[in-house]
Amino acid sequence: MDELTREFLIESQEGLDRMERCLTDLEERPGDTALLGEIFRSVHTIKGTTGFLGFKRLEKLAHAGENLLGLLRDGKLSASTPVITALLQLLDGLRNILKTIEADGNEGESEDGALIARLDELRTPVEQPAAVEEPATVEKLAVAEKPRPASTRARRSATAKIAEQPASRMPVAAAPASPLDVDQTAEVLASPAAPTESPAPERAPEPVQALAGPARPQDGPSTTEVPADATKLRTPAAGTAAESTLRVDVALLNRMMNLVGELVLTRNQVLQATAADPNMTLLSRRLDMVTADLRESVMKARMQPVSNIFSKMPRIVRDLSQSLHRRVSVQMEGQETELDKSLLEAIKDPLTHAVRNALDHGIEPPEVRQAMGKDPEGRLTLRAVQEGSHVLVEVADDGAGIDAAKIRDKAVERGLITPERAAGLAERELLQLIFLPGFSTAEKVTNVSGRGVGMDVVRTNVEKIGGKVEVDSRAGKGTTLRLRIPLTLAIVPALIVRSLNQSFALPQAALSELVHIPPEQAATAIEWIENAPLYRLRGRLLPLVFLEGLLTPGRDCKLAANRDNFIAVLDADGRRFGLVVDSLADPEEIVVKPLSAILKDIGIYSGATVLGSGDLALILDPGSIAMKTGVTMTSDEAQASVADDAAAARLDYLLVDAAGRHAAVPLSDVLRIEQVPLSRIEYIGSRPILNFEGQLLPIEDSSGILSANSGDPNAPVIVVVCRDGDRHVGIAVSHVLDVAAGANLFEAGTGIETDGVTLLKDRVTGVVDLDGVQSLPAARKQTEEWKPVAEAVV
Amino acid sequence: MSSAQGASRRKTKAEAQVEVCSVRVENAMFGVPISHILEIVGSTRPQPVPLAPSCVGGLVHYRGDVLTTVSLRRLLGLPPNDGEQDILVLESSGGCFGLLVDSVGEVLTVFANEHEPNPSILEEHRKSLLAGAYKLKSGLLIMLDPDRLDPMRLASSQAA
Repeated sequence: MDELTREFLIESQEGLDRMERCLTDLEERPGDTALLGEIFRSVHTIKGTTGFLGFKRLEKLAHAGENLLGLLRDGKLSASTPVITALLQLLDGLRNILKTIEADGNEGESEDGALIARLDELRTPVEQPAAVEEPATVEKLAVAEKPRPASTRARRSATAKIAEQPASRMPVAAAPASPLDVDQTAEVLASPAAPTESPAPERAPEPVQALAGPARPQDGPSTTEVPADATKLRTPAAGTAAESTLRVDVALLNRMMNLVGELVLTRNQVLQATAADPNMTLLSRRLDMVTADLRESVMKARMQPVSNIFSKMPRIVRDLSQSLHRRVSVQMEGQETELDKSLLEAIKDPLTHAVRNALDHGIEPPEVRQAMGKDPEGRLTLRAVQEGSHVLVEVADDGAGIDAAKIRDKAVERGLITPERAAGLAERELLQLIFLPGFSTAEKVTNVSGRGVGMDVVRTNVEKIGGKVEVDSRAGKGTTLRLRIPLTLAIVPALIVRSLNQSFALPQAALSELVHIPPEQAATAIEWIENAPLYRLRGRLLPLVFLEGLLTPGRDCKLAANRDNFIAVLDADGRRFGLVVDSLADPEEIVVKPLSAILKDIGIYSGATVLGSGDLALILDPGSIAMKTGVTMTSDEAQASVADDAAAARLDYLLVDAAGRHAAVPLSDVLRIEQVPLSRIEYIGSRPILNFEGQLLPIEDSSGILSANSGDPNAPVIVVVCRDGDRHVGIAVSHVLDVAAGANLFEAGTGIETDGVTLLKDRVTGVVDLDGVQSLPAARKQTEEWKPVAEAVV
Repeated sequence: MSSAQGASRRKTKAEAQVEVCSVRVENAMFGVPISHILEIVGSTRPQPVPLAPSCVGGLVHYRGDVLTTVSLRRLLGLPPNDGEQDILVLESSGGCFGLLVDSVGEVLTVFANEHEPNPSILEEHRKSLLAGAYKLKSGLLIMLDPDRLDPMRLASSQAA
């Protein structure tokens, strides 16, 4: 394919994308001439260029569309739903032809007769009576009262003038050679038009329209209005954006990314080598800075705004809401949020799927909504926001929500979960069941959804790129699906582990926790069923895989009694297992390098990376390791893991030591643990607070840890930051001891479950009452003091 | 090597010269046509890859990429060399790969009329790796066929 055609394809695709956005907007604001102008230009540009390149089929179709659009633009026809549907069909038709051209280099043989006929048909009712029965337009015209021949003459002179002036640069290809052009005016225009076809009509869209209008004789008296219209349609910023941007091949960007990675590495080595030389300090510091800047710029070059995929959604919503008879308005927030291009591509399908689901399962038909007292028009919100090194993409609807009981029944019915297990699940955990393979609640299979290959595909796709997905729903209020996507794929956070005297990288996304087994416990920590090693993690048996044994088949593995052992607890697509490694190194942001096919085929490495030290490390793929070692996720086990996670969420506590006493904080409420120097703690009156990036965190210190250390401003204070409803509170503690599963306690005699205490590691431990932590003065007044409800009793 | 490249530009078809880089493994000398060599990287210790097919010599860091290497010693069934080795970076249809050798010798100019194909008595396995030999005054220069050393092809031929 030659350069010109390729350029044409890219430009046309962009034009059509723009047109699609405008069409869906147009449905909301049918009278918006700027939108109509934009759509007209897109089709017009394609038509003009195809004539030049000789794509007859494309030209014919675009021409039919242009005729209809001309009427719309001149206000002869209103953008009703059938018209917009036809225009969207036109869009699809044009896209299909472009696709064929891209694939085969020619337009293909199919006929667009039906579509063209449809477009013409929409045009006809207006056209016949237009010339005589359009009083509104007629009034505006000085020549309107005159008999028809005079009008024609007037028009001719007007249009001729237009044609003369810009003739040299005029892309006259625009003048459509419509079969209906029988009027003299058309002849006047058509004759200079034909020989001067220009390949670049988009450079001067205004004159094009000035001509395109009068070229249709049926437009009647409005002809003289056209120049005025054309100026209205001008888009001011069009030129500048095109001049300041440049198309770059993605492969080139990838190459640049690689080279920058290499440069970073070389820099690290240079910095190490020159650390001792004072003459080099300045130079190496500058190298350091430039490299960091360069890396950031290259990363930025790969970023694209999420609007690139968000903008496809209104069309999908429109088509679906028509076929499903819903009324839906789409709102989009945070469209400027940027994501790496490859990631953006990867979430396109999951997002489309989520939108389909929201319409099919979420938003109810208008009658139902009205009966429930809701706005008959449903609302779908697409939101993107950056949170640290992740981007959160939400698809929220205000529909029926998900009925947790129904989920449970369906899951049981489909055999994805046993009834006993289902009964023990909290509502939120039940909701996550929709991500299991083979799950669907659709009562009937529609062509939109309900085949049971839905949410699990969404989850798989999102997890493939290191993201996470979760669902939140309230019956009757709506559903929110959240996709958590890492900012970039090329650089992933990983934990470096060592085994066989070699470094390996474990992606942090799959890592849920690390367990340290000191040498003295090595002999007893692991239990065996036949030759399957298991570790008891908070009362649950976790299958273990020895990395050493995995990599050297046949080796007999057990924990080393002469050194520390570590278990990395991994969760890969719901398969949970512990990977036993010799030692842990630092977490590192690694640049992923692809492996050659021969090594990829081994199946447990997903890539390789160069560490800061210059060493190479293979990146382990937890999912494949699970598969290879037979850690499976049967439906029952999957369910068990969901259930166990549920149990974990309910029953796990962070065990802390507050001035010698043990206390427990529900792990689900713990946001993070901070270590700050005592001097950072400030006071409002006698209330200790921590100024955390401008947000005040009230600190609970009933055990007097802060005052006990008041002599030394640098003394470290450990603050457990917890969530209490919407507010955050900090609890000052002496040490964080462990995470352990708590068991409920019952009052002797009555058998009533006690509140505020739990059994942790066989000791009765008080649970910190977060609700009792005093609020800051501006917030609600509450003066209860927190005390550990019961002290640890041995 | 630049003078050698200059020489190659001057050569005429009539002479049918080939420039060959000699490499040494154990005591044997092998030749690789320099047209296939991208670069020679000296003194490296490749990172071993557990579970990889035996012919894979490990990974090396090469110009921002991670390069898979093929160990000539292992291909020839020789015991591994734990010291530093030289790498010839070769280009094949499937991308680049490295060939691990004990040491790289010199670039020799040989003449096409000195070439003999693989002898029929050679083992089949060896036949698939070698591309005949050049009769030099000092002895035979056994030629390696870079295309057949591609790790992907080696893996499939070993599996078969």
